[in-house]
Amino acid sequence: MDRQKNIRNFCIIAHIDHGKSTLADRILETTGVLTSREMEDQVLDNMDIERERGITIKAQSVRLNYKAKDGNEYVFNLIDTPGHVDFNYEVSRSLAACEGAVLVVDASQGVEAQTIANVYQAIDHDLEVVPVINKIDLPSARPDVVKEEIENVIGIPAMNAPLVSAKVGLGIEDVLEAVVSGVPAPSGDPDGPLKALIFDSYYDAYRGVVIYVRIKDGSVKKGDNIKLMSTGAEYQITELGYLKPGFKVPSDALYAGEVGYIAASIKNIQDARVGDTVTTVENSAAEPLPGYKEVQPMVFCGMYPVDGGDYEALRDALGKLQLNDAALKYEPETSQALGFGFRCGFLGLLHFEIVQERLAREYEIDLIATTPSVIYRIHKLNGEVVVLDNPTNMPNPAEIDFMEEPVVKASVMTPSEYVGNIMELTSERRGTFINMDYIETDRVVLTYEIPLNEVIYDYFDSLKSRTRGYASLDYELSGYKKSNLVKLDIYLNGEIVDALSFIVHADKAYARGRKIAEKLKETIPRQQFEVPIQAMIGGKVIARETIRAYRKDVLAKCYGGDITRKKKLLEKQKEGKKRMREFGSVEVPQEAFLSVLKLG
Amino acid sequence: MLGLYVHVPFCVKKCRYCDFVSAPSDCAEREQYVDAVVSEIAWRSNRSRSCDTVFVGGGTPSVLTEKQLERIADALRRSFDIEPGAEFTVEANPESLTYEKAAALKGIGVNRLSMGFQSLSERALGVLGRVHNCEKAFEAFENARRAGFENINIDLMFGLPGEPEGEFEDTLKRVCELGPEHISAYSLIVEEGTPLAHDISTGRLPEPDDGRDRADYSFARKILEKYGYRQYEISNFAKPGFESKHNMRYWRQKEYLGFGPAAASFERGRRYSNTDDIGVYIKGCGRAEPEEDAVLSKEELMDEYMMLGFRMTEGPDLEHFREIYGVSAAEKYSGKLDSLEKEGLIERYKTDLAGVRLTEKGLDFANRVFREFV
Repeated sequence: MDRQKNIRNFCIIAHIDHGKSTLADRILETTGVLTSREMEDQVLDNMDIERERGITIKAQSVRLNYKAKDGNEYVFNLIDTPGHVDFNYEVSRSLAACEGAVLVVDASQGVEAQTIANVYQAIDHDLEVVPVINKIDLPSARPDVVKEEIENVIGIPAMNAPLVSAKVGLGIEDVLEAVVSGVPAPSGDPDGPLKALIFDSYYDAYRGVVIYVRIKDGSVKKGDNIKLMSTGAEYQITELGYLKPGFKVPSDALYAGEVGYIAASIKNIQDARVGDTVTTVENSAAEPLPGYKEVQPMVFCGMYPVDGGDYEALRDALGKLQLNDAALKYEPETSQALGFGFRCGFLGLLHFEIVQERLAREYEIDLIATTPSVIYRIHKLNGEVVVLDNPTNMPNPAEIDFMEEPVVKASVMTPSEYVGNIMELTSERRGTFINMDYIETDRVVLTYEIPLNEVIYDYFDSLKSRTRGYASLDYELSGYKKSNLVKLDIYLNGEIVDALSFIVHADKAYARGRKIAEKLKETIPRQQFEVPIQAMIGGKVIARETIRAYRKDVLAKCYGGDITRKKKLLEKQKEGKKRMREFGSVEVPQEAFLSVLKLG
Repeated sequence: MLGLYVHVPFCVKKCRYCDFVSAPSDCAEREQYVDAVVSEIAWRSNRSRSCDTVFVGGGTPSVLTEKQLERIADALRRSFDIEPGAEFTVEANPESLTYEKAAALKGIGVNRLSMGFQSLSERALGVLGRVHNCEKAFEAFENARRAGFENINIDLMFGLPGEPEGEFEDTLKRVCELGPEHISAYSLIVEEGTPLAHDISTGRLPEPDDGRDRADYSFARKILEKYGYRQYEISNFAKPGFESKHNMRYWRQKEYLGFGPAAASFERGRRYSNTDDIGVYIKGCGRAEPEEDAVLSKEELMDEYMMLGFRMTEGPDLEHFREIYGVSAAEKYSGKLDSLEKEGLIERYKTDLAGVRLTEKGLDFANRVFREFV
């Protein structure tokens, strides 16, 4: 019997907030993996940060059994995908393990920028797209309009799309039936040499690196000797099996078309790269699977442990995070101000925040991050081109012929009433208008070219706030453009804080410098002496603030009733001091760095 | 020896800077409170311990009637062995200290009054949200003297928002002329969540100017000495022999029992507090489980001894420390003491250099010393 015939591997793609995770939960419930009572809401979002922010960052996968109306039992492998524009690359990793994608579209919001971007990605991976209209219980739902929109804007048939309310549990069976009929069965060679695609991995203290695989061809069983094709490293499988929500079910073997996990006491993190192909030592495949395009980080910053003693712990933690976050790149660097740390590359500011938060929560490392930077190209007079991701290394301006900065092509989808606001915002961010398309009478797509360093700050947040949340954004790197850029330095008490240097467009330098100086004045506590804050370009001061000295630090009152309270207060202050770094005897709290990062 | 403290969580109106457990109340609630606190005192009675200090604080204890204050005093005497010469303080605010009340307090054995003047400037009293005015303050002081009180403390505050030059000096001089035996002069601390903090954060009042604050403090130290007051703690000044024995217990880590809502007790290395919810306290007849309850380790106790001791101008009593803990603090803390000395925050004194105390700079930045011991 052909095992593959009854397997369906699919993911769910959607614009953020269209109900992807809720639908995934309902599917799990309906297929009996979990009863609703057992279920923690949104099982697939199992990082604390994901649940708090209501977003999916990491792809998760789970195996389900479904008895369809045709009487057959099907095995579903559902691979969840992230929704934020920063995490598009995770989507592509998930897609490569599937044959189909369920496209969730909100019945009142309709098609959005990411809906389109995700569908194109799915189509690029030769996936069948199964549209589903969600949130039909909302009074503002307009399923027929949305169906037409899907057909017109995306160009896939949608008239028979299931109408669903994941929230109230309506239409879930229809989705499952649509998966059975709409998603093709896998069609690998069950008897060929093993080819398994690694689409995710994580580090387990007992089992070593555990890899998540999609078996494309062949099969693999416990005890097999496997080879990781990009490095040639060989390991013996100690355990393999299927993935259920929150736990693993060991089995004897994994066959073509299936999704599961493999543990092989892989101790070297570098050996198990996501995107690599696993084969067997005995019967090796000749060619690896295509894998993924390597993700290129677009935003860089330095990360330094607040406590210098945490340097090794930070190195270790970054290694483990990178295992299942292929987009995270890092290498050691040193800063005059901050000591030893790492230069890290991220997909965007959200990615950066998530990594920082995970380091704090999962590894309990307090960090100071330097101002994020994109990669600039500096053309020197001698013809040399310097690729710069750290403002500290900027060559002497006298040697520079011209500089280039990365630009993105951004599409913003919005109700037409907000076009004016978006144009205003985007021109503030040095965006160049390319064109505007009406997708409906009152909805448009605006296309812009915007410098990446303007997008990485708070463009997305500003866009949301100026369109009351209605606009959606998608962007991709489109190239480099010549630009009038300068390096802005911050001096505290006459000493440069290299960690706060950044590169900025000359027209904006003055305003940025002033804002940063003001912000630092707010966030750096008063010291024992007066501290001047200066923002400088070259040798020229463009903004100045002064932090006044404090002249008392004393609890005037402390009696029996409040000794405990006063002690707590002093302990808190002491903790606060520990979290500060000294720059030329000025104590600067971590929050000061963060607050500067948040300035648009 | 034990000290006894009774917390009276009532006031006429909550002052704008106050974050103590205190609130306006009605007659019925005050009566229920007195029932509860009397019951708590009886319940925790221990005739085997003698007590040499009693302190009834608040809030504003003088909002209670003579009868109610008497019931509390009687309960304390029935339940504990209070020594004949014990210091017995009651806090009183000018608006509620009539001659009759002062006389009644004297009658029930109170021998020390602590009066919340805060300032003799009408502007300052307005900023602080006090209910009395200057005239009332003088009147109340007069009432206390007439009733026979020969040990009176006056509480003052300086470094207030918008304080004009000379305002505090003027208050202080007038108070010195009045001649109480004890003066507490507190640098204002703007506590989070108080109306005063709100006024400042919304710009209704300016931030207190800490330059002015330090000028006031330094003026106070100078002028009070001239008038014969000796500074013995960061904020406390007394004529010789009139130092508050009860408050010194706290800074010398001696034992005390606290009664009433939010009152803290410290005995045998354990510190615990009553619930700060007046309703819960009354309902439980003063017998609700303590809320914060911690047995301190020897290490914590030693640290705390140092932290509290440094509040005193003579510094922690290192001989007493050795008696209690069997360890030399000078040795145990030599590293910390050296670096604090190097920073100019503390100094070693006494001929054998066995004493440590805050320097003048240390008085301004005492928290930097305290933080070393938490």
